[in-house]
Amino acid sequence: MKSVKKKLAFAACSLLSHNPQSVLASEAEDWAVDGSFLHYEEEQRITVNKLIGTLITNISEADRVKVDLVFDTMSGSTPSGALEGAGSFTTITTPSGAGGFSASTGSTAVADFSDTRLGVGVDWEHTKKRLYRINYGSSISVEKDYTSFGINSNYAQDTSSRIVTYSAGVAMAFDDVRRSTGGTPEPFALYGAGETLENGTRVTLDTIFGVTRVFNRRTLGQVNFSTGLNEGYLTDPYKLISRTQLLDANDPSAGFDEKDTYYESRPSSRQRSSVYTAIAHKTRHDNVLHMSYRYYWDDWDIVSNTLDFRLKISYENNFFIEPHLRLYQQTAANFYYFSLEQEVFGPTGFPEFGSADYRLDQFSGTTVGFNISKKFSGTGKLRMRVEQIRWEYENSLFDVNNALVFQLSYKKLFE
Amino acid sequence: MYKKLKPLSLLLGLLVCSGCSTMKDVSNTVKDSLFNYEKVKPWQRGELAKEDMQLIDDGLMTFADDHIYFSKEAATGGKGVGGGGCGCN
Repeated sequence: MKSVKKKLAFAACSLLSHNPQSVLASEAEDWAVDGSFLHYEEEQRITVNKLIGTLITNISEADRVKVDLVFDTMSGSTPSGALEGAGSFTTITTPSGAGGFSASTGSTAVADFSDTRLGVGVDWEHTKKRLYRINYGSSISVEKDYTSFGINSNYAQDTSSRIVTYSAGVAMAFDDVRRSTGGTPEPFALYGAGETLENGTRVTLDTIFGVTRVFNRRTLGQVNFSTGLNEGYLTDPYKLISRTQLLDANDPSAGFDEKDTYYESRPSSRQRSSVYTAIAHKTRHDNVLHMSYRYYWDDWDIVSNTLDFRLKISYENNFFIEPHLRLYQQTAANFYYFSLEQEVFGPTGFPEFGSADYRLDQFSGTTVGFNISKKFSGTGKLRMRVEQIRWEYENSLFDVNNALVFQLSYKKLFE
Repeated sequence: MYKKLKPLSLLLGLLVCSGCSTMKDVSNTVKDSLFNYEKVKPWQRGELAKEDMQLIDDGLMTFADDHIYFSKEAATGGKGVGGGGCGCN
């Protein structure tokens, strides 16, 4: 009876929790352990191997603690934002063996990259009278050139009928940004010249308000509104931007000469908002449909739409196959430039802000893949997924990026 | 390797289409879900309490996806707040 009561309590808790990994608790007895290995590989670019471990334990009828561990290794090359063929820059310095970036041999447009990341998160959730839940969390993430410390709290309350749940959450993050050699470059300084400034600091405040509703015995829906603010150093200390001059001022299609290359410069503030809707529905044949849509906008003039669709198809013996399709599209930031055109800015002039980071370009992305899972005797679950992601950029030097995702996970519940 | 994966979308399409019952099942979804509102009692929530009916049904997959898309796209968030940041490239 105690076990059933606990299951019901945590199942109710998990209906609306904003914690990304709270779903474990829906089946949690005294302990739940979930581990995962992820391999992410871009075509001729970055490779990431990620280990994730989560431990959840119920310390009382109303309290549970969750600990997350993440370890990443990252290597490969990434577009710097500069164009190929600039004679003036040859290397992005990094101490031998210290990780960070260095210019790839024979190309100025990509930079070699190597780093590791260790992240730890701890959450405590308290349930009161089975209708109120509050969660407190903290996390820290450390890389050779980035440190992040975050705190968050989420509150959820069911109506007396338990049909609707209202929730609110707030999170703050404090980040330290630097190059692997320390410090940050002077914005718009000539590449390889200029002062090295102190480490960049960044404060992020995020809030979220949500409503979840039970539509019927097989359908659950959610709407969230999120808004957040970044203040501080939002520039990427490794990204570059080139100045160009048209070969023929009357014919842009004739090409251009690349002149100097500079460090990029971004605004020191960014306000972001989004509306997110999701629905989960179990069909008449016990397949489960998950759909979500997000509309995002910010004051850098980036607007994006994201649609996600998964259909979990049930087979015999607790075996599942789940096709997945994700469609993404965004507009460019208002300070994104392919290059600083000399015809617009002159030989030495600059816009107020400027970046050639491909992630600030207008682009679209498509994810296609599937997830296979198998439950074992009620307490174990093995999952494997394979996905391909393709991003297509409107203006960036590299107009396509293909990535492969492979993830293998296993979860075990303990009495 | 990537060229071999290009037919993946076709394979998935065939997978979904492999059973007429599944396609018919999907076609009933809209009618069964949003247009079939009922006041569900606590003892009628057996299906809703199951793990695969949670809005985030695989925490580690969501966690990994958030990291990937945060690193590669300008838009972030929507599902929740909190978690460690990164200087991803």
